[in-house]
Order: sequence, then C-alpha cells, then structure tokens
Amino acid sequence: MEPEPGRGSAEPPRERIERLVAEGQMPRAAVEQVERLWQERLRHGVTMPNGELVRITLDDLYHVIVDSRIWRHPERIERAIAHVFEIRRSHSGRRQAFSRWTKGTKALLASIILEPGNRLWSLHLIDAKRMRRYTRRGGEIIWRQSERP
Amino acid sequence: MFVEPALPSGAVVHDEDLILYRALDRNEEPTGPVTGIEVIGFLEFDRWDSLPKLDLLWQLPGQEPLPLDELLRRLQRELRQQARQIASTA
Repeated sequence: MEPEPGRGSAEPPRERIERLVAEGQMPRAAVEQVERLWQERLRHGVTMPNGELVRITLDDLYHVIVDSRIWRHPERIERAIAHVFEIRRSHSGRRQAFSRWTKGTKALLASIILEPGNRLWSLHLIDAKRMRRYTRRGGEIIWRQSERP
Repeated sequence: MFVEPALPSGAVVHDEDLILYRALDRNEEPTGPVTGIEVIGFLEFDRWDSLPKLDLLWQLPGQEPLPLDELLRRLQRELRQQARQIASTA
C-alpha cells in the first residue's frame, strides 16, 4: 500500500545521507566504505570502454548512493562505467550510457546519465525490459561498442 | 524528493529525465511502494504530462499535501526564484 499522503523532502544528497546516518536508517560503516572506495578507486575518474574518463566528485557519489542497491554494492559504480556498451545523446547536452556486466551468474544492466564535461550525474540499475524500451525509442546513438567476433 | 521515513529503495527509470524510486523487495527488486522521485534538470523541466501517474499526495514539511505535479511546479517556482536571486547578487 502506498503511503498516503507521502511526506516528502527535497534536500541535497549529501545532507540526506548525513541525516539518514544520524537517524540510524543507513549504516555509517556503509557510507564510510563507499567514501573509502571513492578515495581509492573513483576520485580520479573511471574510464569507459570508448576511452573517455567519467569524473566523479564526492557530491556525485552521495547522489548515486541514494539508490540502496548502489550503497550496498558500491563496486557497481566502477563496474557499470567500465562496462558501458552504448552511449546516446540526451537532453541539455547530457548523454545516457548503457552498461551490462555479470556478477557470478547474474547479469546486471545499468543506465548512466553523464553531464556535459563527463561528470557522473546518475547511475541506476535497470531491467532488461526497460533497457529494450530505451534502445527502441532512445536518442541518437553516438557510440556503440563493436561486437566481438 | 523522498518519502519519509526512508525505506531501502531502488530506482525505476521512468524516462530519460524522470527517476522513480520504489522500496526494494527481498530480491532487491524495486517492486514496493513509491519512495521518491528525481527529475533530472529540474529547473528547466516542463514535461509535466510525462510525470508518472501516482495515486498519492506529497507533502513538504510545513506545507499542505498536493498531487505530485502541483507540488513540483511550486517547488520549481521557488527554486527558480532562488536561482535568479543568487545570479543577481553574483
């Protein structure tokens, strides 16, 4: 059942994460782990298969981990960017990248929004149905990984 | 904009600019109640007809409950005004 009415808030991601930690709704250890990962592997950017570097600021990181499936598995940020297979033009100079990789027997798909200047705006896991919908009606393809023979 | 109290949530990408968040089920799939919405490029957003049709009202602290589009339009007006003020003092 939907919450009725929803009590909402519009706050910057960093403040929201800090508040969730303070309220005990998000483990501090998880946030620290994500910040450590950023320091060690993300702060200098992650390269996509087309050779472009995606830049990730700490604020971008806090925005991306709003999705629980990312903060619980922060390694997915690097994986998703490193496994981009297609990039499309989106609105206002942004680009949308699609990514696919496997973890064990599980196939994972992601949609990534890149700001002009290659800053990471968002990174979301999507399902195969959503991916098909996008690729049917999405924007102009500006890069696609060649199929391996 | 997120519903409080926060629930573990995953994104459901509605379209290129609209991300809906739903509570995660035990398989980590976002199949539960709506927990939030994100509008990319919110200050310029004008595709109000593209918003997901949700049968629930949203309420910001200190304000009355409103349908999602009304609340977002109001929020956008406030943020645009703030942006103009910041630009004029810069």
